[in-house]
Amino acid sequence: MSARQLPEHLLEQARHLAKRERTRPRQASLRRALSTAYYALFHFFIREAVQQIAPHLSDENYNRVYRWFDHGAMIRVARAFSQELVRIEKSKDELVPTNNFGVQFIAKHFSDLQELRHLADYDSGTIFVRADVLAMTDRVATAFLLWPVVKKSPEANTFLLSLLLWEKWGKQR
Amino acid sequence: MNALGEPGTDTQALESTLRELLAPERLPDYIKFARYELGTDHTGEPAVRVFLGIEPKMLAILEKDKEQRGKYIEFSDDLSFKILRLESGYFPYIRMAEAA
Repeated sequence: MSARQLPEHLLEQARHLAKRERTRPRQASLRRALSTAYYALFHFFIREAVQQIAPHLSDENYNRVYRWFDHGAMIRVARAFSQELVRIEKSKDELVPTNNFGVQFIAKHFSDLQELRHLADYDSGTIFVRADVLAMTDRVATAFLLWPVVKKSPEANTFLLSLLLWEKWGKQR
Repeated sequence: MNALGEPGTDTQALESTLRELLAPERLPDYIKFARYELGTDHTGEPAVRVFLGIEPKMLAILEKDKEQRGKYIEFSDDLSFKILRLESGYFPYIRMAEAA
């Protein structure tokens, strides 16, 4: 089974969970909604990266490639690409001198969602507000719409490659 | 820490800018308070968490009205990118909170 439709289905499910209770939302529903919204964007990035780097992979190998992506590395990349000037890690060299604002938007909200997903899954003391959860799902939907506009830009290409090879940019020889 | 692995803007400068950005006169009317906390995020990197306090009545409107929610998103994202542009090394995370 291919996972290629996962991002859209996960976003739909996140919205469903956020709106599950008509009046007082359960914290469990809001927590699962945030976690699901994070995974919608996580799988979206992987799908787009694979489509751009290796568009003709078999489903079997596509599913293998999924395991190459790492949450910790991806948030380091996302934080860096939230900035207008993207530097190579632990270096003064500029990787992207003027980042595309669409890429910044998408990267910023991936970082936000990974932090929220961590709170939702591991911090029992955090109280989530439904309007805020819905705002996050709205941002994921915007990211999905924005991506086709920016995906062919050099900045978006550099971002996708970085998701897999972030440390390699600093390699001198 | 900034992207070079060096300290960025000093904390005092960051806090001074945050006080300016979060001054009551710069907030939309429906935001009743704004507070921030400096610390680290789940990865251990420096983070600034901003909480925007909204009354329950307005939260109910934001739940139902996508256009109003869009205006909130515009405000909070603008705030995020203003903080990011400081290159302080503190990554901004902005959340709604319920104002009593």
